[in-house]
Amino acid sequence: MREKGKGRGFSIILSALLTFTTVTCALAADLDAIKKQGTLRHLGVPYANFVSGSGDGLDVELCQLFAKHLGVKYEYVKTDWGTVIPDLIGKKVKAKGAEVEITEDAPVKGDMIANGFTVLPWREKVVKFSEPTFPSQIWLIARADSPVKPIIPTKDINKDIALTRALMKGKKVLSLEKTCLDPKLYDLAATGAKVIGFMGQLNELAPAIINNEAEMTILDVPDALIAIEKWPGKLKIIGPISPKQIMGAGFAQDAPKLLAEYNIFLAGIKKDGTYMKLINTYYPSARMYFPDFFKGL
Amino acid sequence: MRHFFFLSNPKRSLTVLLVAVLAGYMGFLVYSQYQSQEELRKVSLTRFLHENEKRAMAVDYFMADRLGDLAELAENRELALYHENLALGMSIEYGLGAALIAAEESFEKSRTRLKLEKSAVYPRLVYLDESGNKLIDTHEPGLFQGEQRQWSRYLSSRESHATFMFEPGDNADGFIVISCPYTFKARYAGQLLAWLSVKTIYHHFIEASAQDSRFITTLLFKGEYIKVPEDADRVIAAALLPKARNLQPRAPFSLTVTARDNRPERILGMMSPVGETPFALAAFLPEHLDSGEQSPRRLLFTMAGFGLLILAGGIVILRIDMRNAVLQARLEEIALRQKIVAEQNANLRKLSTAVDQSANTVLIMTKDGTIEYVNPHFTVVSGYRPEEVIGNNFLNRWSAHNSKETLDTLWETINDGKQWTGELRNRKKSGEILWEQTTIAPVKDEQGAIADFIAIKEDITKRKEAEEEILRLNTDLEQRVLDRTTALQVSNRDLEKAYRELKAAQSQILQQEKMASIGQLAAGVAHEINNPTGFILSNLNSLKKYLQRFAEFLTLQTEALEKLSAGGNEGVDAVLQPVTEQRKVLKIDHLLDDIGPLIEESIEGGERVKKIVQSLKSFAHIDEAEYKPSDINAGLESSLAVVWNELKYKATVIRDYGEIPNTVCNLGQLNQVFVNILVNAAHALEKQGEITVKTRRDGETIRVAISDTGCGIPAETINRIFEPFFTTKEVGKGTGLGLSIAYDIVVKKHNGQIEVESEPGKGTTFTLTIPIVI
Repeated sequence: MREKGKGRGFSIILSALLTFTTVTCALAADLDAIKKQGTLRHLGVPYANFVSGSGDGLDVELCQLFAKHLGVKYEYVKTDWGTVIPDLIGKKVKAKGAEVEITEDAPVKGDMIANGFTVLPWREKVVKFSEPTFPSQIWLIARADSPVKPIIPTKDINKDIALTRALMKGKKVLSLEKTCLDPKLYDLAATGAKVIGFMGQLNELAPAIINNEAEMTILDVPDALIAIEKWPGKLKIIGPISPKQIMGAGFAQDAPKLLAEYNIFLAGIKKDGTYMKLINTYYPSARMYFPDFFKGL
Repeated sequence: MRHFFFLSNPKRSLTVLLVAVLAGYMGFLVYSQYQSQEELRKVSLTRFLHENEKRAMAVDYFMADRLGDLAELAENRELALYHENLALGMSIEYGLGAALIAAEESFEKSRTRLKLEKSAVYPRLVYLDESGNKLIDTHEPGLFQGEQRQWSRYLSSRESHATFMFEPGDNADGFIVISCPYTFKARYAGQLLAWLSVKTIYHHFIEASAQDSRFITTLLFKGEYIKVPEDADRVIAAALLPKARNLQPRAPFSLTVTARDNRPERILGMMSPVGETPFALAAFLPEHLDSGEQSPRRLLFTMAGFGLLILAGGIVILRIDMRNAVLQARLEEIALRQKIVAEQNANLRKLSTAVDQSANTVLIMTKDGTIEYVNPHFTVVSGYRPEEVIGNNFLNRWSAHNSKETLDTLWETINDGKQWTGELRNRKKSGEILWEQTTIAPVKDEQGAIADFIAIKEDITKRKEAEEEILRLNTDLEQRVLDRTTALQVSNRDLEKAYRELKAAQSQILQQEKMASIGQLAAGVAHEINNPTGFILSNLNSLKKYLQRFAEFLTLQTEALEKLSAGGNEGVDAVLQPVTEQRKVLKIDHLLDDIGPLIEESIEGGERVKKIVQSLKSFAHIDEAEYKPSDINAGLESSLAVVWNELKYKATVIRDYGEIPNTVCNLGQLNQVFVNILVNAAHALEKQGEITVKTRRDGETIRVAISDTGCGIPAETINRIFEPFFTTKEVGKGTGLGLSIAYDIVVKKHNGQIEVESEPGKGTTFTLTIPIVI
């Protein structure tokens, strides 16, 4: 444990230094530059109902409205989970649990990330997050024919997580590194599960366990809800793996004005009802699972 | 017999008979009226029954649709997904709740999708699980607030069918609840409940059409009235309604109630079940509205009495009317006759006036031709008063002035009963000739026999005079045309002669221009020939001298050879010495060296002369008026040769000949054009300059451009250069016809074009465009 703590301290210093370097040489455009260039470049990966891949999605519509708010054109820049942060900050990164290591330069391709982008400690070290745009949680999903039965909720999230983790022992569980489903984030190894790093896309995890690649997978709530709706009777939700999480839009650290303007924009659409209209369109059941998050909206 | 005395008078008998027939007819009418009233009553009752049946059927269809809605709801995918996830053991907190929310949203969409009178058909949709727990409840805002309901009472079983229930409302008319079991994987899983508003259904299917209806309709559920309209007492008070359980389906019935004015009133009624549902519609109609206020029997008596009264009155009126009618008919006949006479008189007056005032002469004669009448216009035209001619025979008047043949034809025609039309010549009282266009027609009596003749005549004297004048003028005109034609023929002959002379003069001028060109060029050509001829002659003179020396030297050599062959005492050297000395004296070796170049030079001179002569010969094609395929480049070359003496000291000639095909043309004439332009170009060069001759094929034409770098043509004269006799040269140096002839040759004789571009001080380009003709 001491060694682990030592390593973390070194990483923080390194990341702080590299962050400074990043701030001084990154090329992501701030508000003035975006207004000048007349285009807002939205970095997105097709994922759940945030970026559908068909030109719509909760985050796509939020970014389109934000571009309209700025008076600039909207441009979607397709990326993937491995490059989404380098495409924003102009640096390649390597996450190690809650730490991050910045390695080499990369071309900047977008001005903001909005993609069901979960706020994670390591991401916060290289990206500035907006006010929360959507709530989340990581759930354990199993194939319908799995002998593992869903937990009986206890009204205590920590007990529920413990019950769920206890069911993973010896089971093959799919995870996806560099995303919010990174097994290190939830210390899945400690459950005794056989954690398998999935090589495909986030959207492909649910079909993978249906196809017997593993018995279980972890998914965030939005994706899990879509999966059980898309494949009725094929999957079951066992229980929670993590406490509640939040998602937000990600901005380069040298774009504070753009971030501030986004927060102003977000507050505006939450107030005028536009935000909830979008939530009801893309995640109608979200209000039930996260009543605290949507309280007053 | 006494009783039938009144029938002894036939007139009276007839009247009585008529009255009896009329009375019978009236009776028939009254009976028919009675019958039709009865029929009307039956039809009205049938319509009443049908109306109620129709409404019951509409409600039945509506209820059937609602059962279909619930069956559709039972297929709801989201509800199935909820049960699927439930079966997998999922909890509401982790996943199951989402399916429930999705199902509730789907229920809400189904609930609000169907509208009846702008309201949702279903005020409420509920789904209960198999334990009676309410999982989905979607309803109109504000309804069902704070209710305490035992939901389990709605549960049924998998085998059950959809059932209807009635729930009375607190303030409203209550609701109909349709309850339908829901099964999942062949197992009873819950209950679907759908609420329908009695008020909305009653209003839509009954009240909305009640404005024209004379009856009231009540809604029954399982033998109880669940909806009685508020205005029911206009037909029957709610309290007086018969017991619903006792009503037989589709069996009309009647009941007597006490009306508001305490009189007994009969009410007709009928109950129609709503299909297989527990609902029914019972309708009530006051009998007097169905059959009218008066009963048919009462109407029968009233109508009969009224008919008899009318019949009696009618007979009296008829008699009076008949007398009046006869009188009226007579009066009308008299009036009609008077009217006809008046109209005939009026027509007669009109005709008389028309004849009197006619612009034509009108004359009436008897069958033998005796004049009976003439109108005033006759006097105006002829000068004779009526009394001077009436009684005369018209044939006698006209025979003196018209041919016998004409008059015979006329007389024959009109006596045949036909109309004759023609022109007659007459004489006025003043003695002047009078021409009249005359139409004579017979006037026949009622039996069709000829009674008179009427003649209508129009004075056409002026027209006849005009015709004669036109005839005279035509004759005169013909003579004048003849004279004029003769004069024109003479004139034409003069013109032709003048034209021939002009053409001859033109030809002469052309020839003169040619001669002038040739004359102008002759000196140069002569110089060109003279020069080589001069040195050829000089060389020939030198060769003549050389020949004399060779002859002298040859004689000496012959003598020396003879001495040597004779073998004399002189030695060889002595013999050859004078030969050697004389060879030097006569410069034999020099002569031998010089003789070759002399001959070469002479041959060259001869060639030059030959070339000039050939060029002249080529140029001499001027005289050939022949169009044949020719090489324009060759023509240009021969023209250049002809004018070479004019050019060589002033111009560097640049030849830029393109590949052009032979074209059918008069090359002699074109050469004349080239020479004219080239000479002009040479004259335009004040000092040294360039003349460029360029040919190109341009589509179906050949373009020849001759440019010089001379003084150019002033703008004020460039438009006149093609005019005949226009020249800027000194008197005697140019005829002024060169370019005019060039224009004539290129444009008129070769269908080509000639254009000039010039800039004073820089030069001029003449461009000839000649169509290619193969």
